[in-house]
Amino acid sequence: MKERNWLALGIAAGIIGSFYEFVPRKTIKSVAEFLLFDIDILGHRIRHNDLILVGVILLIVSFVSFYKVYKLRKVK
Amino acid sequence: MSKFYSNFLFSIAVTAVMNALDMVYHLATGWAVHLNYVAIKLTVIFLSVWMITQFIGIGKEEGVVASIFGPFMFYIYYVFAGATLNREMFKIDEQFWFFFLHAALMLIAYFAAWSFAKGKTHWARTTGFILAAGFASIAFDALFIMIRMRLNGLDEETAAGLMTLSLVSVPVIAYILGVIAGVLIDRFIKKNYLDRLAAGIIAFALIYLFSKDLVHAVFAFAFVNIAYYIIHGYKKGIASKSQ
Repeated sequence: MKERNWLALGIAAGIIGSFYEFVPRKTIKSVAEFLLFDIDILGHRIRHNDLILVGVILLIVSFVSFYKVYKLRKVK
Repeated sequence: MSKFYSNFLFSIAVTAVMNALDMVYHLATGWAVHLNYVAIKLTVIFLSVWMITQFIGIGKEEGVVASIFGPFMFYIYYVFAGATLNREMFKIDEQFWFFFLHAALMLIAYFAAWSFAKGKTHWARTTGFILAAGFASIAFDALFIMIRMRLNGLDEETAAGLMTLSLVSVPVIAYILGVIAGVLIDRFIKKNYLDRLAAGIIAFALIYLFSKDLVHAVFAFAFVNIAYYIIHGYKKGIASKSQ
C-alpha cells in the first residue's frame, strides 16, 4: 500500500475508533440509535464493552498505519 | 514458510509469554486472574504485536514500540469499559501503575522471543528459548484451567477466587524444568524431536505425580509440544527472511 493510503486508513480508523472509545454511550445514542449496534450476532448480544473493544482495535489499526507512514517517510 | 504465518506464530509466542508472566505476578501478589479479562488482554496484546510485526517488522525499535503501545491500549480499554466483576471482592489490574508493569513484562516477552531467533550468543538464544517455551506453555495451561472451570459451570467470581498461585505453581515448575531438560538433551544428544518429547514427558509426569489429574497431564504434554512448534516455527520464518 502507498503512503497516502496508509495515511487515509490511519485517519479513518482513528476517527471511528475514537468515536466508539471516547464518546459516551448516551451521546452516541442521541446521534443515531443504530450506531450502538443493538443486535445479536451468533447468539451474542452486542454490549457497550464490545463496542469499546472494537474502538480499541480500530485505534490499534490507526496507530500502526501512522507508524507505517513514519517508517515510509524515514526510508525516503 | 510464509511471512504471514511466521509473524502470526511470533505474535502468539510474545502474547502468550507476556500473559503468563503477568498471570504469575498477579497470582503471587493476590490480584484476580479472570478468564474474560485475560481474553481481552490476549486480544489487544496479540493484535498490537501482530499488526506491528506484519506491517512494520521485527526488531529492537518495533519491540519497544509494541511493548509500550500494547499495554497502553489495554489500559485505555480498562478506563472506558464497564465493570463486569465485583470490585469489592476482587482486585483487578486497572490502576495506571500496572501499565508500567505490563510494559516491562511485554519487553521481557518480546525480547525473549526475539533473542531466540536473532540472538548473537548461544547464551542469549538459550535463555530466550527457555523463557519463551516455558512461559508460553504456562499461559496455555492457565487458559486450560480457566476454560475447564467455566465448562464445569463455575460462575465468574468463584472461578476468579479459585485461581490462586498454589493452583499454577506445579505447572510452572513442571514446564520450566521440562524445557530446561529439553535444552540439555538438545545440547548433548542433538536428536531431532527428542528434546520436545523429553520436555513434554517431564511436564506430563510432574503434573500427573502432584495432581493425579490425567487429563491435565495429557494436555501438559500437548502444550509443551505446541509451544515448541510455535517457537521453532517463527524462528525458521525469521531466519529464511534474513537470508
